[in-house]
Amino acid sequence: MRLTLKLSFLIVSFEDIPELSSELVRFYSVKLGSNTVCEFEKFDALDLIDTNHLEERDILYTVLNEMKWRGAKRFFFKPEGPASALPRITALQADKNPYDFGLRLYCVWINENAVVLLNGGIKTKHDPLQCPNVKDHFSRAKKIAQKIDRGLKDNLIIFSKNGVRVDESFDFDI
Amino acid sequence: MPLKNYHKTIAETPDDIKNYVRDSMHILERLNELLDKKFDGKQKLLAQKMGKSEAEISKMLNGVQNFTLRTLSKLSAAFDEPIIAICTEHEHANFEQVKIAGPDVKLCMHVEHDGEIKEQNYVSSHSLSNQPSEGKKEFA
Repeated sequence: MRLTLKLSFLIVSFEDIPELSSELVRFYSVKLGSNTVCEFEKFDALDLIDTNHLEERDILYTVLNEMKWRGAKRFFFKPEGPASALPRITALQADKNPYDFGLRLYCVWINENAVVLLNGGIKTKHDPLQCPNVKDHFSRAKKIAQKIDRGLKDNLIIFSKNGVRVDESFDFDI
Repeated sequence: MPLKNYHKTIAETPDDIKNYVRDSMHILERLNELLDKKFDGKQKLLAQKMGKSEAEISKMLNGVQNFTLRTLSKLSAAFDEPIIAICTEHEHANFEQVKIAGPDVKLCMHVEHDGEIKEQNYVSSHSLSNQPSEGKKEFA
């Protein structure tokens, strides 16, 4: 019997987000495969007009802006397995719609000085894996977080004030 | 990186939303500061003190935006420290410290050993060293 194993990997590369970064915190995103646009740019481009989620984006972006001087404290993020999500601080009014769990931005919290922002969307199910809007972003965030964690443990990924360095020997793919 | 919506949002977010986020973040920071200081960062110990389950405490701390004054009062009693301060012009108000939290400004006070405030001025946080000099209390 012949077994064919099909492997498909997406190469991941870090991108700086200078607009969000400060002396205290550096925000990064990632580009996947041959994509020319990074994940956070895709999130930023989400069209929320005609939805009731504009205020949530106001809150989320104000939180990111505040972290420039407060630092990216762990408790500003919602744990999502090995990954994280924003916003921890949510919109003022509780939404009564049972199919609307609000806007989610998945990310990887490295430390108070480094965060990798990924992609997200409007979550429509309690279990993100059941939500067509966010399931791919959620799964990808977990894989990227696990990969980064491994790289950090093996000293093959190093985040510093000067940026992120990925050792050539590290296979940064998911 | 062309973050069109980020720049537009930061420029146009109404003040009440900004205040809401800042206040929520201040409270989150204060609660975690007190949790570290009083309970070694352990929610379990706070839960024991309040006679609640750890899950209830976790839920409480996660739902910072829905805090009622009653919840804050209970937490404040458990920590035996204030969590929030109220701005007032009441003649009997007794503030020992004024904390100004902001990205660029810190309030520095020179406090004598007897507690008398000799001088206070606002300075850019960038011009301050990390370690306040002796006799100088730095609030941020």
